[in-house]
Amino acid sequence: MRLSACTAGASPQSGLGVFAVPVRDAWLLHAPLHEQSALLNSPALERIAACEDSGSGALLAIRRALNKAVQPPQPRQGPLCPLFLCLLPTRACNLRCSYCGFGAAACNEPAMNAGEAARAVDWMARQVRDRGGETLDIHLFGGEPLHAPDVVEVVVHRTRAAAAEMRLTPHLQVITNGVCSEQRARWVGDYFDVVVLSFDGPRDIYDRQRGCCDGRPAFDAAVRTAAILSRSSADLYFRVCVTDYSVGTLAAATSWFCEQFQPHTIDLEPLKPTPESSAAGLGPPDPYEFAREFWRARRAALPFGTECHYSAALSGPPRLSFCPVGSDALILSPGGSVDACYLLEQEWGASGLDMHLGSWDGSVMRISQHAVERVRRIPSGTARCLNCFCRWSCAGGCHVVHKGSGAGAGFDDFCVQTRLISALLLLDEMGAADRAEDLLTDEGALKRLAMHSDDRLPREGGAHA
Amino acid sequence: MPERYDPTSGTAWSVEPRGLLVLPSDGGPALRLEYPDAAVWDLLALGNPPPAVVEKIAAMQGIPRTAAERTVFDAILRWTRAGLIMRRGGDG
Repeated sequence: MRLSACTAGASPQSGLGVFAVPVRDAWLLHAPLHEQSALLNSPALERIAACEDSGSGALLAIRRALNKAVQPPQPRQGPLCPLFLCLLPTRACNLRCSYCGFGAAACNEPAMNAGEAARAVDWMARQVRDRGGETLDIHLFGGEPLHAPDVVEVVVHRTRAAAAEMRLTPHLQVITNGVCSEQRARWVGDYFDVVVLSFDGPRDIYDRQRGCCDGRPAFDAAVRTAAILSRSSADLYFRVCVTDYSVGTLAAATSWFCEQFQPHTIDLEPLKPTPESSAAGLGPPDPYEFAREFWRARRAALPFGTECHYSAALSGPPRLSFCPVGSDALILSPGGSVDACYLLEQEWGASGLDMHLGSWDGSVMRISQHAVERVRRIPSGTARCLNCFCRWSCAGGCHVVHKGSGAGAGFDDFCVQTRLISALLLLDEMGAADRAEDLLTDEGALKRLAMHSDDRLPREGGAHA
Repeated sequence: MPERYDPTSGTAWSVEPRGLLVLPSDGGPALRLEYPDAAVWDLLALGNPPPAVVEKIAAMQGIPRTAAERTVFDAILRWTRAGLIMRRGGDG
């Protein structure tokens, strides 16, 4: 039996926060609300499930920790308290990625007005100052934000100027494809704290999945930017779209990223199918293969001190949403709409969701508290999530794309890869990487873990055989 | 080629938490630039012609164009005299 050293926090009788999934001949106990995880054999799990206070040592410590009352994460309350302000300088893009469903390459919506963007930054700075905050956190996303350089220059300097005036610390983050001039890349590295570079892998992968609007390859420019950023003061993150074409090379691609660019983090995210991706002959990876390759990539990155990340997997404290939705983050579009979600209105609208929070007219921010409350209370997960040990980390995945598909049904591909990767990460965290490796070699065990229909502990009628 | 002002050869600068630090090529004392001058310097160094810098400073500071012109052209005058930037292109 192997146990993690943990701290405290409800009773297993609550069925709320104590879960167990099969890992070959053992059980992985996971109680995120109690901050407890352990790898147990069946008799030990039975004793935990039966609430026996007998035994000794680590098992008794876990048993007692699980008896402590805990509170699941709650929706935010009170007045709007924005986590960050994200500006979309433009919805347009200089690339035409094979899988992009944002319609960015064909977007003809005008860019954001630079002065109005600057005033929105001022508004955010006052919000931070008035609530006694310290950091003015401004994110830029798109389309491709650097496709509207005039807006970006104004926003960057306004953020720094407003922070200086109000004695705040500016924090600037940009998500970009990096296909820009050498001078622009250096500038980005000088001024941004975090740069998330959308970059799918070495040349063959990149050219298959991405390219300029005019058909030219974009790889060399992206590499040049990555190299410049790796030598800059910015924290460099890679955001990799993993497809059925690229999944088999994930570990090799990760090694290449690490050797060439020493990134802080590599975010590996499976393709979300779009009509465009289908037309390009690209599909999402098989979820079992994705989990396996994710693990291999993670191990490949380890010697470089680079973290591999998958957004739906465990990361930090229990949460109600795996994205900024519900955290009062404000996403400001070029037309002045303020929303809780980066996706296009037609997408969340098609899923029956209303992510609209208000509007910005260049001088007045009109945010409806009713809308804020509505978004905060968008349900976390679906019926299938109630039984799942990832309930308080994946939290059901994307409110729009995942919850809208198959809600209430059994575990789908997204659930499978998330469950597998979450279990692998838990094992790794408790120093049982060897058990994770063993699990990955056992196809049947992987399937049992992935499709285990009810992880809650204790279970109706009982026994874990 | 439209009028531009580039940092003179050998002049270096670094981005600081609250502005910029300019290190003259002649080894003279470093010049600390706060906002909005830091933005003027950076926008010129990026190759923006002065009218574009004026437009961006007006947008950034939320001030009328005439006030932004004063900010930008005062800075250009000071830095040109100090040998920190030099004019390129333009008709005159």
